Amino acid sequence: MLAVSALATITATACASDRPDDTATLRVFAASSLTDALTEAAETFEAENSSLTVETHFAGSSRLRAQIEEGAQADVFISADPRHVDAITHLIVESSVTTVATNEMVVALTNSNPTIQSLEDLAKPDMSIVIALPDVPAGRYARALIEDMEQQQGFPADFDEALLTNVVSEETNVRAVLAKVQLGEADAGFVYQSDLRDTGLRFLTIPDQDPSDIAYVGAALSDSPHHDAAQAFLDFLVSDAGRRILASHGFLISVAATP
Amino acid sequence: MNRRAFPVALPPGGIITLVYIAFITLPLIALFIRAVSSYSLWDSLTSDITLTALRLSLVTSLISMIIVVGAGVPIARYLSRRSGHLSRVIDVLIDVPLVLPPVVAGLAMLMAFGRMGILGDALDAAGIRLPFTTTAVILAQIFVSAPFFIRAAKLGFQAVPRELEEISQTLGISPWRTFWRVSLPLAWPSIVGGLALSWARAISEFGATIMFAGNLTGRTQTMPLAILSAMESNVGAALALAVILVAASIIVLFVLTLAATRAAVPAGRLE
Repeated sequence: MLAVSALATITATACASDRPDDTATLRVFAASSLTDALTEAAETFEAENSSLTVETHFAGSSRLRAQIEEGAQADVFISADPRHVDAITHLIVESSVTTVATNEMVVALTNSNPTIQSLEDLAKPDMSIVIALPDVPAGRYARALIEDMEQQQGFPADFDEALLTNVVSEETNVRAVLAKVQLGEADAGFVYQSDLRDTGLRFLTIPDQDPSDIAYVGAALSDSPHHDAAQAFLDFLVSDAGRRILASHGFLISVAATP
Repeated sequence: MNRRAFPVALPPGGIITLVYIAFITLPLIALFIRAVSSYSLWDSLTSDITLTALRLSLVTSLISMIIVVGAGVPIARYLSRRSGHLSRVIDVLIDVPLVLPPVVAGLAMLMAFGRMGILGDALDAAGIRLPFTTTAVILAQIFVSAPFFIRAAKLGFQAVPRELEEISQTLGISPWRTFWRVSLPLAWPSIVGGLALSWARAISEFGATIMFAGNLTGRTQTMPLAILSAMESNVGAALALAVILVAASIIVLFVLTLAATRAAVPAGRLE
């Protein structure tokens, strides 16, 4: 026991040594697709609020939700799917729920296979397609869109099934999907258009998406000791400065108007 | 600290051992308690995803072990008889996978055997596609687990007294027969011990697999990947999978440990 407490002291000291005593640490759990945008937003927010340190933790929204349900200490949760916030209403501060941005799905194409020219090509035999797990927002949205496509003109009747047969891997978050396409191992992957920033990948747009469907919803967690700071961070994200950062990373903000 | 406070006088080593045992068993016990108290345990245990992942894990790790032992025994035996700079370099190279983070191992395998990898075109010309296949799962397991086996088996062969092998050969017994009748039985406990460690590493392999082989039910989704995937939706299912994996691993480790100690007896008689 002595050893354990000594270890705890050492770790606590090591972690605390690089910041002044009066700073609070705000733990932000956010969807993987927000990785770059929120990292930048957190830095800007820290610069404006010297008494706060923001610690970001990115993963698939469903995993973040599970971690929060299991008692992970988070102050802010930003999900790529409102469902994962709605599912834990007992753990969040209801008044803090804020739509931060929206997004659209696209199909990222590898540079190593130029034969894919249209969405129909995705259902051709021997294509390798990567998609997020069905419970991860990016995976759920992708599957819903694939189902919708089948109803549309010009798509063959078994498009849905043929495309899903080509799925070679189900990843735990959208960035892992993107990585497989970037590495050239998969021909195509369903990602958010914001994920494609600076990747230089070709992509196919998916028509008829409802712009408010893919909404990033943030909330302060009720167990957090930093409610004010959490609210301030969410407010910052929907402020002009915050929106500029999100927009510069390809997120759509025009419809994210709920205060 | 007052030693008499303990009912039985334990040496410091004993106390530390007790604390350590508590440290590693407590999480496992907690895992079992949580899994058992989860109402969906039985459903999760018998669900298709669980059984498919379990079967894939057992089959792939079994194939990996056949290859690891088949190649590892000759390698270990060869290295046990060499010394000098070159063999030291080889020793280090063989141990490299032990220090690589598995994700790096998976990435490196993609760089070599992936579609865009160094051997990508050659493999493609031969009609072989490795990433996202069950073969990739097996290759990842071999990559990360073989060093454990080769290390242990090599030490086993090194411990075989040279004289015994020489006596056997002077008695007119062929080197091949000497290997089977003298060297192998004497090295057997080390070989089985190495096999246990190696298998444990293979069945728990995660990082290299998700990188190199991806995650697809029935094809590349082994138990550790199924656990992570279940975490996305249903912690109960993840717990059930974890319990099965732990139970299966403990059983295999026990069996192999038993086999190793049993095997030590006839080997001892030879001496």
